[in-house]
Amino acid sequence: MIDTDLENDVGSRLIMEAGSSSSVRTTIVPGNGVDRSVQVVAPPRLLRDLWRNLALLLNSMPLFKVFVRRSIALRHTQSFLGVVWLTIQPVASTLTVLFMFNIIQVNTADGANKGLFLFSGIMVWQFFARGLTDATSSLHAHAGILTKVYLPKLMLPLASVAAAWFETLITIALLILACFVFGIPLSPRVLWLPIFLTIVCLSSLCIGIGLAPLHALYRDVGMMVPFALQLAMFISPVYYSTRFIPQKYQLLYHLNPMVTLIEGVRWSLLPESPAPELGYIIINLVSIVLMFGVSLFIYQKLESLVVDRI
Amino acid sequence: MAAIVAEDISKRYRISVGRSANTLVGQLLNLVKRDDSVGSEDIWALRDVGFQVEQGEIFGIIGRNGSGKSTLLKILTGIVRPTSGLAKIRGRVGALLEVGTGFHPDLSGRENVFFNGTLLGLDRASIQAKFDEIVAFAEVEKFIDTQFKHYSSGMQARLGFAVAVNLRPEVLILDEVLSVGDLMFQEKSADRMTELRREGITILFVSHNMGAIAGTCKRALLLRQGRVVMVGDVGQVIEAYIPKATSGNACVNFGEGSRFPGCFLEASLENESGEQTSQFDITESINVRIRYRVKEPLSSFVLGLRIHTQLEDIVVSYMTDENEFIGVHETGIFEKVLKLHPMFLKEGEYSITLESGVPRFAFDLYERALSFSVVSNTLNMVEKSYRRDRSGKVICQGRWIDASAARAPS
Repeated sequence: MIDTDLENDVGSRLIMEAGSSSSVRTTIVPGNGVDRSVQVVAPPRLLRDLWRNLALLLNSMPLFKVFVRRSIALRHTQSFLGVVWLTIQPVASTLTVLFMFNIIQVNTADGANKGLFLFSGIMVWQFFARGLTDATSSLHAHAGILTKVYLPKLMLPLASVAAAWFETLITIALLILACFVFGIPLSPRVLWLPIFLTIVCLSSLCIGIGLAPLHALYRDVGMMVPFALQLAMFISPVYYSTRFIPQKYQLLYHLNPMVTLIEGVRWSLLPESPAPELGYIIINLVSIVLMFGVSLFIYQKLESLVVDRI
Repeated sequence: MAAIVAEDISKRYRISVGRSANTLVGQLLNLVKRDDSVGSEDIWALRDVGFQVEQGEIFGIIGRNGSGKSTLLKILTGIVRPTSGLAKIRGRVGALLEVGTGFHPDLSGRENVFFNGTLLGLDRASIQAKFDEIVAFAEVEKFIDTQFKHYSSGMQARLGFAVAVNLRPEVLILDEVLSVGDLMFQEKSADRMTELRREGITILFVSHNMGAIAGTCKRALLLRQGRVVMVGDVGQVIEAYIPKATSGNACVNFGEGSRFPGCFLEASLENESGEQTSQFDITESINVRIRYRVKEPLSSFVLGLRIHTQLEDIVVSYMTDENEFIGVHETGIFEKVLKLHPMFLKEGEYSITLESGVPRFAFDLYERALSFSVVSNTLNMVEKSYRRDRSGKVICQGRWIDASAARAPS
């Protein structure tokens, strides 16, 4: 361990009282004309700030990569088991539910392999929920840095979702492995799997960006989000097939983007699962984009307040 | 354009009072209910702050705690947005605002250096090139691969400082927070500052150490309660900042005086301008004004002063018979002023004992009747031989003359 009496903090005659490093990147201010290396710090104005944020983000790729790496490292160093934990949870859940459904003699899989049906639903939901909670807490978790370092804050929720996205590979691997375990043959449809999972990632981002500043500002958001996710899980086809929903509610039901996405994942893995309908897919994509717009708006509006209050 | 321009920067913080301030649900309910019991206070951390710093200048910012210095720095570095007004900075900014900023406790020192370098806008190669220099400067070679959280606060601060300074920003902002490092490290830091100054880097320096400010800055700014009180020549700004001394005894009154035929009535300490004060700058002349009464003609009546430090008895003493031959002192009330040379007493706390008498008979003796302190607000004391902690009881200036040429063979 460190020999701490190597260090002595005698401070009576000072030349320099130094803190520690923080920094500012040179901003290329779009449309600023004359001097491209001048940074202007001005009162918050929504559209101008949004534009600048995005430009700054593009210029900060190395920093972004560092944050993503940090996010990934954090996700795995937090728990001793790391990646293994990622697997154990859904597997345990699947086995438990499978067992219980067997006992109460309920079959929700609508013809598909029960084990894989449940496993795929649970995995996708876990993926979404984790992405969302990580993005939501990203600003609050970096409170220290936010008040002392200048960086494009949008980067933080983005980095957490990017870190989640890197784990899609693991998720895909697990799902394919599960296919072998349950003896389901793979078809070319499986190529759609990464696409669906990416869209799941993006939806968690779309909501997470707006929730992040709210969580940083208000304490109760941290409790509401897991609660809302719990409820949302029940109105998503995690444990049951969408075909059980009565016809008159199908449209309403499909307004939930996760419905279509879970259907899509199942379709790509299981030969018996139906393809999600194109109409619903379009509706969902549109609503995701709308959610993104609203979230971005909320984020930008609250960004400066977060630094003041955090 | 100047390196840093601040235009009428104002910053308001709204503090919400009440239980609902912290919760989203609370806030939404407030929008609907318009509850009057929930108030919000406006706190103006900064008001219409404006100034300019030219390229290559070292500019000081002084002010009491709470005057808005940190907020101003945060705005200049872009961390906090102003409520109104603008700040413009040209060039890459490196700022030291607090210990451990931007350093992640779980990463090693090495990883943190790279991380911070990236924050500063440099790519890996440039950081790698400077890496050894940074580590050597911070004196943490042995621990560079251990986790940052295991570093002592001094090590943390040194590494932070080393990173910011060695990665050569174009504008450097230094907010003193902790005293770090021993004397050797501080001297290294001062050297590095001078180097940076020579390279034309603009430095913004916030400190409570007036000597350091005076020694390094040419211009400075005084903030009080968020407003700019004064900006300009560093000497004048520091003068405006120094509060009038509240401790020390600048005046003592003896009423009608003692029963002795020659007695003290009043004694006070004044500076050159005649103001009564108990705090003197090391460059000031200290005047002791004494009023006394002689009740009957006294032969060889003498007044004396002894100056003591806190621990030692006598620094020096003055008797009024030094400068003139005293014959018979008339009766009446008189005043004399003792003028002490500037650059004589070192920094520290002193007291004055008053005594009077005639040969072989002492009259009054008032021990430590007056007390004062000597401070250094206009000189940077770092290299001075008469610095407080260096040996020597008083300042007595001599001159070094180079005599080598005189020895030329003839």
